[in-house]
Amino acid sequence: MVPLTADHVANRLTFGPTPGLVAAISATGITAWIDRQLAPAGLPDAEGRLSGAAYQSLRNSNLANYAVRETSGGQDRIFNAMDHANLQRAIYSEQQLYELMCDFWGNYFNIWRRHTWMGFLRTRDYEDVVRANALGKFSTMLSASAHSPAMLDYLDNLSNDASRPGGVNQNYARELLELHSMGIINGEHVYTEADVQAVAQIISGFALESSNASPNRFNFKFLANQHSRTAVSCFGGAISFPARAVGQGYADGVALVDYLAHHPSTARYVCWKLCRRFVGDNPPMALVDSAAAVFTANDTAIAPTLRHILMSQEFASSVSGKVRRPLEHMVACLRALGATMSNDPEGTSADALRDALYGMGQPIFERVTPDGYPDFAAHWVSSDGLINRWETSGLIARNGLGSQSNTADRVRVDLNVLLPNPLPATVADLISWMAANLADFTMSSQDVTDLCTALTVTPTAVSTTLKNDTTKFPLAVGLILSHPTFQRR
Amino acid sequence: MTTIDTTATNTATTDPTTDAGPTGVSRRTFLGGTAAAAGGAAALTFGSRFAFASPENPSQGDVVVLIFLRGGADGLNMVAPYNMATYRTLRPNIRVKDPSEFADPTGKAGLPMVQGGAISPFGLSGTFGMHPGMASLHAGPWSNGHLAVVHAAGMPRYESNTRSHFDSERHWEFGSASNSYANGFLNRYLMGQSGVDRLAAVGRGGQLQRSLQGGVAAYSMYSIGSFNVSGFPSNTRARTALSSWYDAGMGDLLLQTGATTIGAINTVAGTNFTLPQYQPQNGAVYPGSNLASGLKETAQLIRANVGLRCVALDIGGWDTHDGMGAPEDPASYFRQRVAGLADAMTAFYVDMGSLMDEVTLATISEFGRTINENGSGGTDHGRGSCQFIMGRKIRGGVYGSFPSTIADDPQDGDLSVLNDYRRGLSEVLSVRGGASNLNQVFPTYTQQAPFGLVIA
Repeated sequence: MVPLTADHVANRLTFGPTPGLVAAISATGITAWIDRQLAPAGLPDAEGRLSGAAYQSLRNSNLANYAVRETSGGQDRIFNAMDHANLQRAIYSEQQLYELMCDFWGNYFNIWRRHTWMGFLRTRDYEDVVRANALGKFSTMLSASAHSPAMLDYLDNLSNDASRPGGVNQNYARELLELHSMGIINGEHVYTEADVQAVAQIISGFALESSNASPNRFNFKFLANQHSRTAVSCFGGAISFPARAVGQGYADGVALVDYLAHHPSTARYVCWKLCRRFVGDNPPMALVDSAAAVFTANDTAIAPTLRHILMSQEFASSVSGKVRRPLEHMVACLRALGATMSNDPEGTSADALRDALYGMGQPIFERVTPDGYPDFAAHWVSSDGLINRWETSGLIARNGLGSQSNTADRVRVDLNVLLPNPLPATVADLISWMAANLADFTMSSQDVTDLCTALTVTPTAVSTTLKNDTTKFPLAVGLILSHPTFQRR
Repeated sequence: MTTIDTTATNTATTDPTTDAGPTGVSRRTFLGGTAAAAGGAAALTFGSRFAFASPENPSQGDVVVLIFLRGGADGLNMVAPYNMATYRTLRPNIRVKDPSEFADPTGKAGLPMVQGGAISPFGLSGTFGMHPGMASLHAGPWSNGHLAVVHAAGMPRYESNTRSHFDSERHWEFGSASNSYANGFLNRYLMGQSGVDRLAAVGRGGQLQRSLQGGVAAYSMYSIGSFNVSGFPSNTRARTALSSWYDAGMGDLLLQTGATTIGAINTVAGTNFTLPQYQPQNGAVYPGSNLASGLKETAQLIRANVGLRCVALDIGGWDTHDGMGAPEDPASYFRQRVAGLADAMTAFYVDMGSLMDEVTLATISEFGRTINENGSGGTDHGRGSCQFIMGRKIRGGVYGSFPSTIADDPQDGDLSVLNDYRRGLSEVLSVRGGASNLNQVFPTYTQQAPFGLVIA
């Protein structure tokens, strides 16, 4: 038995430990802490930072956001609010596991906002499909996604019109099967091309209200005239509908999505992705299968499925087995150093954080393809990715992100409030203390010595030698955040 | 799918100790399509000779440049069988048309591809028309006999019949559909080469392409000019610390990538990389696109004598499920896509000039598309696509088998894969690249006779 440790839980089930988090988890008890995270209502969140007018788009209807979009710079304001809101939620909310799951499902049901002019629809999708169901029921989330105007626009189901010559458009149907439900694990197909074609027919007409006069404009609408009314059968006859009269067919699509949500292949695929997120890039299939059984037994409820994974031996023994993705790394740096920032989504600091994620290769909400950012380290561990990751670490530690003329709009860290009083005795002690207490890892004495050599400071010198050096001290902190161990979770 | 253009200068490198002003242009500014040519072009010394011709690098292979057309490019509308009956009837609005259909076909009709070719068994030579948006490629490399097309290309169905983007891209880049081979075919090619060092393998962008992943060190970058440790109060000291921590440990991707990256910065970037902006040669004009700036960077690296052997680049936006538009309409979506590809390839070809004797550029895409134009004016996922192979040691023409008719059938129809994409690439890698390990480069592919599209 490998014991489950508070360190592992703090690193894997949050966007990075804040100072004191590990001790708090130990004090609460690991299992109790996880259970509280799985039912997070009431834990402090970051919504207070988002209550102002700059974040009105998070609360707007699609139609109201369309009106914003039509104003000068409106689309950028909607996107910036979404970006900075969710970044702050990741940094500041104490509902950390929930925020990780929002990121997970946001990638699972990825939508690129710049695919068409209707990218403003993604805001409601992210709030109402992803965030509303992130620890709820998968079947509810899949159905919500199939009714999401943003998704139906992104994957061309708005033009999946069986009444036109040439017939249906397969784009959404294919990804509904491949990415959202039955999936493909290691090249194993559990459905056929004919199934894709049939699903495209069944789901045709799932679209949105486009009438200028309607108060429901941009909301979901079943367009009966676009729906294929021919008889259809797929999945070896498991799904089979007769020819339909005009106006019928919506219920067929609903039944199809419900069938997919409860299909055993879907259970396995969802759990495979969850295990890849929380256990390892190549997760043990025995755990995937046992989690799938829990998923099915709980009618696709996500929290008990996740709990099963987190309580497993495979999870306990997977310490440091994942490399932090760019978003996770940047947020981990900010959380480790207790960074403060303006909540202005149009501000320089919001822009700088957005840019840093671009540099590291995974800009927030900018994944172009429907598969979401990959969860396999080789996709982001690259030369350019590391160079930009080190740069981001270095800049955060030296207060280099955001406006350099207006401190109110800068991403700021104040190490003085984080350091103990009295300071650790020597330079080496100070470095070790910061690695252990801010970055939550033990730096080997050889690595401490190597850092001192690079800094040209004597390890045994009194710690203020480093602490009071305004160049070398932030350099040391930035390098601690660039250490290989801090890249892992 | 469309690729984000992220060629902007990284504003995060602004040094807060020397620049008190707000940061400059943000990357996202470039998302709006307002990108100018890549800023901060690299500063390098140009060697007048090729990397492989230099005394310090004795390797003898050409540079292989691989462009991945992400999303499943509609090969039937790039090199169109424009007089095939089913092509004409199943694509009423989006088909490439024969010149005889226009009073003045200039800029509107398919560009006849009557030169060369060895198409069998149906004798369609002369009946292919290149998309009118690809006029630059047709007038340049094709007319000069330096462009080969392998049509109906892909992974044959006995190995994989998938129409999934994500499966197919992996299969192409790993050179096999088997889960046993999880590294890039270009990396395995370099594995068998001697004298592979310095910047032998470069992937353009932030993420290393799968075709380059593997045991031979390969580097992702947007620009050699920004390939350095930056952001710290002392970047030299930071580099020292990082190089002591990132130790090329056995089998650890993070440590290995960190170590090789710092190593490359130390040995290649060095201190003498403070040079003038790259000037394309021979009057070449690169269009303002992500692919074009990547090819320009590639040209620069080739001339910079850094040991370059393989380059991988991407161009997205090929998943054309709707709104492809008519080929004769200059503003139509698909025409803009193919024009962007053709103009970038042609600019690179012109820029390289006679150096194209030792550079081969090849394109791949995960699959072609249905012959049926769907109800929204696009095409869905198909099977065979067309592949371009360009160089001055390439014998121009259309190669491989091609059917006389194509049926609309999502299970078994559409343009099926008649020509394994690895056939042309094998020829390039062995004849131009000196590969003697093709059984490792393409382990699940049984070598077929060469097309003869490469001149030794």
